[in-house]
Amino acid sequence: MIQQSTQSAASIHLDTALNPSLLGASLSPDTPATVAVVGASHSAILVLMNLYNLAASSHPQLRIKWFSRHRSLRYAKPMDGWILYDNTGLKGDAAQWARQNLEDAAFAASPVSRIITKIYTSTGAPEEQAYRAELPDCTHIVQAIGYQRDPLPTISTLDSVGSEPSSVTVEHDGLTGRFVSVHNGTHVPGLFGAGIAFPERVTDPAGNIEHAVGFWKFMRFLKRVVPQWVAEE
Amino acid sequence: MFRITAARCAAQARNAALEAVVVGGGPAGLAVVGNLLEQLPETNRRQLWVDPSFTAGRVNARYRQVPSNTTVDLFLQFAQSLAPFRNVMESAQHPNAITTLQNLVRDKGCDLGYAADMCLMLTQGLAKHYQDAHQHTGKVTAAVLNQVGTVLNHH
Repeated sequence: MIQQSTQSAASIHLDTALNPSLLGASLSPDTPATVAVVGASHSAILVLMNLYNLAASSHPQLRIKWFSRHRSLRYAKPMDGWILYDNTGLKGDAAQWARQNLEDAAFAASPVSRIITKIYTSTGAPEEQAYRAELPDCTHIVQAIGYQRDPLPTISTLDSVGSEPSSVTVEHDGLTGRFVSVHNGTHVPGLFGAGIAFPERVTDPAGNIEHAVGFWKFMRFLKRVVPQWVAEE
Repeated sequence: MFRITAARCAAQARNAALEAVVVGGGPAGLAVVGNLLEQLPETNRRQLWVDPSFTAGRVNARYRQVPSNTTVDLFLQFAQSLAPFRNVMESAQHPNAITTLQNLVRDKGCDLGYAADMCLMLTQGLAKHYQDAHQHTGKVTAAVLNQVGTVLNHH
């Protein structure tokens, strides 16, 4: 996360930036604006697309500064019966647009390079310096760096007669869907999670570990684990 | 045995007969409820399903215009993979969210709004046809695991 002290840019929530009409409404079409976009995955590319489309139409004074830790983008790649970077790689329209407009080879010749400035950052001091140098003239910032869960219910346990419930900190086990108590490492009986807030952990044939996010991926996971969940006494 | 506190109503005496409380009515919550309905015996599958609005969660509230990574084929497979969902689809009038999906290009993605509409249709269908998955509008704020339960039962 970028330190509050290094930026006066107004935050645009990622969910707003992912909605073209809301994004257009949140930016004045008559005032110059420079929007910082942080990230290089699916959401970041979609935000860049949405902003670029505004710049090329209703918001001609819009410019974009794109901060990324990755010189090259990652694309999902079909293999023999499986997909490399299935969850972390770009797909579909975002992948096509990125290939045609953002990759180093295509960028200079693309109209996108008149609107977007690419700023590569490597973690640690160089990244801090880049933000300090480049953020001050950004009017807005969008951080596309990962899904944020909605607030969760509190979990506590009642351990003995007459006592007060004591709060428990739990971690999700992405293989079984169960939750583990951080305090003693045991599974919390009867408590399970699935979906984008608690995704399945998968390992592909190349050994890459990813979180499986997607409607069908949720269903496939649940068909496997729900029988185990209901069998638990 | 978990005791769940819902913001708008205290868990009633019926709690003891519940097989599950499902928190959240987004795509995964919907899939959990469907799986429990399919996998548990009909005499023993009562669920309390809790969501603030049963409007297909954040995918419908915020991401309708986002192009999906999931292909149309796989959205349809999601709907066709559980018997309770197939029952909802069979009783639904045409056209509906599923028939709309069926008319899109199958091996490409689509705007998530189409998938959100599918979730809305299935959620409403479950409310109509499966009263044992009771949809309670509200919010789960806390859950307490009663580890003392077995000790008390001995008295």
